[in-house]
Amino acid sequence: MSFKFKSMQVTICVFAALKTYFNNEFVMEMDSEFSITQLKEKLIELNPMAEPVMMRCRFAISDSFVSPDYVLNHEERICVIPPSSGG
Amino acid sequence: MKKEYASYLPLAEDELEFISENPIDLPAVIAAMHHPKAGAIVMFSGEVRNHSHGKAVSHLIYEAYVPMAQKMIKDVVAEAKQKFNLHHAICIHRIGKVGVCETAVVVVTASSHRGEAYEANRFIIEKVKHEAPIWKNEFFEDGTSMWGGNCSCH
Repeated sequence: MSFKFKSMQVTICVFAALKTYFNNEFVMEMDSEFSITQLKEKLIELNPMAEPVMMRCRFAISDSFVSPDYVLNHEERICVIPPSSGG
Repeated sequence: MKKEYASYLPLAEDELEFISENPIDLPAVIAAMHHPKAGAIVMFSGEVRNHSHGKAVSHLIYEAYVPMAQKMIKDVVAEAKQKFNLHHAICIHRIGKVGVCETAVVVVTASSHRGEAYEANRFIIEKVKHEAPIWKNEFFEDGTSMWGGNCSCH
C-alpha cells in the first residue's frame, strides 16, 4: 500500500498580461505543502508561453507580498502580480 | 460622476480613495490642497501621450488590483508626508479607459518650502509607478494593443 500525500486546492488570480495566458481566476490542485517557487514552476508548466512574464511576477496572499520561499500548507487565494506599469 | 475633492481631502485617511474610475479634475484636486502653512504646492500630472513604441496611441486602459493598490498608495503618501514634513499630500491613479491628454495619475504635495514639495512629489510618483499593482494596456491606432510592464526594477 503506497502512502499518498493529501493534496489541496488553491485559488489563483492573475492580472494584466497574465490574463492572455490564464483565466482571471482558477483553482489548482497542489501537494499538501509547496513553496511559491514551486507554484511558479507549476504555472509555467501549465502555460510555457507565460514564462517571460511569470519570471518577473511577485506573489501576494491576503493582499501582502510573500517571498519565493514562502510555504503554503493550507488552502489559500494567491494573487500573481506582474511588474507594475502604472503612471 | 465627478468627485468633490474640495470636500474630499478633509476626510479621515481611512476614507480617502487613491484609485479612481472617474476622470481626475486637476483644478479641484489642487484647490483642496491649499494649507496656511504651505508656501509651496507641487502638482504632477501623468498624462496619456499619443505615441509609444513608435506607434500612434489611441487610448490606454488601466487595470489595478484595487485593494492592494489602494493600500500601497496610501502607505507611500503617508511615508512621504512624514519623511518630507508635508502639510498635505495626495496621489490618485485612474483605472479604466484613459484618453490622450487625460490624467492617468496625479500627485500633489504641499510643504512649507518648495524643496520638500518637489522632492516628495518625485518620491511618491516613482514608488507608485514601480510598486503599486497597476498596469496599463496600450491601445494603438492600428488596432493592436500591448500590456505595459517594461519596468526592470524587479
